[in-house]
Amino acid sequence: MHRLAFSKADTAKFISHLDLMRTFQRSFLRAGIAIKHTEGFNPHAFVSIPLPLSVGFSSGCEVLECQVLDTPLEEVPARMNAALPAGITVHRCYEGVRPVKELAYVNYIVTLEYEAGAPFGAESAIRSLLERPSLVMEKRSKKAKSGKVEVDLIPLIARADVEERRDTIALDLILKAQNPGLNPELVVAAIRANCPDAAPDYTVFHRRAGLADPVQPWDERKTRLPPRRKSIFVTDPAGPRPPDGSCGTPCPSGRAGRGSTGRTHRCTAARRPPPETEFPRPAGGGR
Amino acid sequence: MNRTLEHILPRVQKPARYTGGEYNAVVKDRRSVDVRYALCFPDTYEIGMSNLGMRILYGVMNQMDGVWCERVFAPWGDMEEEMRREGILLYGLESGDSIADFDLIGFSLGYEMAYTNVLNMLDLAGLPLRSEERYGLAPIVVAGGTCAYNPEPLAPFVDLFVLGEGEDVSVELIQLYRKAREECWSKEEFLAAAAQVPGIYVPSLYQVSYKPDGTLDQVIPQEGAPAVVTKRIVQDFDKSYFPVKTIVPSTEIVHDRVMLELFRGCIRGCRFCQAGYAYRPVRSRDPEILLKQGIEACKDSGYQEMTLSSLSTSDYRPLEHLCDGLLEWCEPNKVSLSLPSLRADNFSLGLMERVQHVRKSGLTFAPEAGTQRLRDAITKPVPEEDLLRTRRTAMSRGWPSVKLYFMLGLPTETDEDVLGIADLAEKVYRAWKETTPNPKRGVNITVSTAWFVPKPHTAFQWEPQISMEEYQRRVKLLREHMKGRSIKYNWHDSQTSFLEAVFARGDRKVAQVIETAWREGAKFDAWSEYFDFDRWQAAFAACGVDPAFYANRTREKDERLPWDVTSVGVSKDFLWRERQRAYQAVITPDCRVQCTGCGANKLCPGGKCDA
Repeated sequence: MHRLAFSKADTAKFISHLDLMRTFQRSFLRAGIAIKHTEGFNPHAFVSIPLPLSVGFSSGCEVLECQVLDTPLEEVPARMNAALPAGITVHRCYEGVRPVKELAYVNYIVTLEYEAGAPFGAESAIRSLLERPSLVMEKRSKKAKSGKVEVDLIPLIARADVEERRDTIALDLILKAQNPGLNPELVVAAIRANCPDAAPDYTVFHRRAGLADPVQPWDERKTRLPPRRKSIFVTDPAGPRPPDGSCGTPCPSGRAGRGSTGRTHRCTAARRPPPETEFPRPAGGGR
Repeated sequence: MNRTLEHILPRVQKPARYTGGEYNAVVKDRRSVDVRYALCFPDTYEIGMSNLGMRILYGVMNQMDGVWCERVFAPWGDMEEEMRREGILLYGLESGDSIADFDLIGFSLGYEMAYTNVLNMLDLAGLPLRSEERYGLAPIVVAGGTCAYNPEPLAPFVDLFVLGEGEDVSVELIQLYRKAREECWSKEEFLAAAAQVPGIYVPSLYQVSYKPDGTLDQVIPQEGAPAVVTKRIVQDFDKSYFPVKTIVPSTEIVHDRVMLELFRGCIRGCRFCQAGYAYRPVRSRDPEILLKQGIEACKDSGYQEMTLSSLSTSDYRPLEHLCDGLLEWCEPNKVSLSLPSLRADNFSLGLMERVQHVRKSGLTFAPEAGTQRLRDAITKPVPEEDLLRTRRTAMSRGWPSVKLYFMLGLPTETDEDVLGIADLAEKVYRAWKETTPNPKRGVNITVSTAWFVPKPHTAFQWEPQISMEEYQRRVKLLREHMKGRSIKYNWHDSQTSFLEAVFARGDRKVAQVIETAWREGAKFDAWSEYFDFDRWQAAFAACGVDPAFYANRTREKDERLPWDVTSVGVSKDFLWRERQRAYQAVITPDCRVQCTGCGANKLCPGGKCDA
């Protein structure tokens, strides 16, 4: 199973999930890239997007699964980008390794915009809201008889950083991705319901990364998780490193990377805090 | 993207239709263009993007250096509300710029019920509705399309109408516009010069007066404008522009496929059909060119469906050869071909089988009238034996469902003709019973009737539309006689057809009613979510206009008709002769059997049409 890593931005944000799949099917044809079709009476090109994105969200880390038949994978991104509509950019095409069910968390940047500037006290109100032991909201559900179901948000939030900027408040959220997943819109709805003074006039949602657990990227060489804002390491706690710039430790992902010394390479491990540092546990809420 | 637009879009349905950014959408650098054209379709994105004419004009104008043509569609109610509240004016999809700043704004008028949307879009753009309230050269409001053949109901709002095929005349109009701007003409000077371009009708240059009985008295052209404006056609259909590289929408639209235009015009001359007359003379495209265009368009777009479109595809002489060529490419590339508008005969059946080999969907026939007598009167060439024979063959080969389309209210129709529809449906059912290999499977026969609307530039342009009560009586009569569980009967809503009849043959007095109704909230009249007949009745009353005067009145032979100022090439005498023959139930042979002198051939170079 091959995977396309792509981003969705600008005008393409509003293309729905189904329309996006159809757009990709047509783009493969336009690019002259043959992909596997389904069997059966009405065969169509097989494409699958494991974690659908809500309409209106932008994303830098989308994944499309398909089976490319006769084109070398390195050629795929350039040819696809020439055939895709504005706002969709394929970054790379690779052989998928990690199964989708290990995509456990998603990192969202949610920007709350306020026309008259962030209200006084909004940042701390939101922070304390997300630090509560439990936060229950009603969500629409097709399965429930009444059409609604109650869900506690806190266990589904692995990390929540709240930072106020001049006119906006930025939430850096790591939320559970599936079984069950949490849509950040529900987090914003919780803010509207519980801290009405902090309710934004408008919200921008951006999906930054898919994660296997709150710190490790799900798929190899995904976008690096930037350092936590409040903890900047001046010195590398892991000690002195080899002169070739690699981190000196065998890479946990097992890849013989691009580093000149073979089994070691410069990777995110160097920038991650050492394992002893505490990470917030889901039940404890964000920092 | 505009920040306010980004704030609004998550709140509306199907936001992707308001963003642009589709594959092959033409984006030019604002600074490098000197003419900006807003091509407006007065309906939603899904409907407008399915329109081939829009794509053709879009491509023709964007091919011109220094011209940027952008698309504009009518925003749905929820989006319109947001736009008005946030102060966003109607914008072009490609740039996001407000179209009030453009040079030319062109409306494509495909059907009469879109007229209130035209006004609504002008208002949303922030422009005055009336031509006389817009000063200066920019923007000039232009309109074209089928409804432009009777432009009078929109005359006060539109600066100039383009009649006929716009591929050549749009280019000429833009060049004239450039000259006017360079030499600093006034708007009046520009319009007077535009009226001299063949195919352009400038309503403000015609003084219209009425007789005491309400009919037209005189229409006096000023400033040297022509007494009659004749439509334009492309000189060489083979060479005329076809959008091989066309926009592929990222969201779902109604007709999402490659459309190949086989030929324009129609040899049949069905007396009720405006398109058949209006697109004459008949001109076909060379099949080799079509083959090339079709395959290239599929490759460029990634579409997996292709339609061969024309008014009567069976009449395209090299049809089999073209289908062979297309199928040779389409089958291995998994592109499915569809051929609507085929005649009900065995040849077409064989063709359809080859083309639709994956799944046999239903067959559709349009006999239009229930009895042979009436079919002869309207010159619809569907002999009953042919229809039944084809049905038998179709059913034995496994086509399980059939749709039959008819019209009620055709001239010379009697109750006997109405009941003929029920008879025909019954015969089709019996034919199925006789020939089906699988009776347990059942059959779906759907009969649909529409209320006939007489259209300008047809043989029936003098006829009255039957009254609403009479239409409903005939529907009831038919319903009572339509028996059988396998036969389903759908009848078309009457109120929009009545308004269509008013607008189709209306004059300038109707324009005031349209504006009044719009001010009261009328828009999207073709959509049941918005159409409100009471509002229209109130608008007619408020303006002192009687709609029955336009819809239900028989015109006299020598009455001056509002659309006499335009010509589609077919002479009025020919149409009157056809009308007389209809009343005598005499068939006029089709153009291939014998040329009947309609007059359209004079538009062709050399005076010879391609029938």
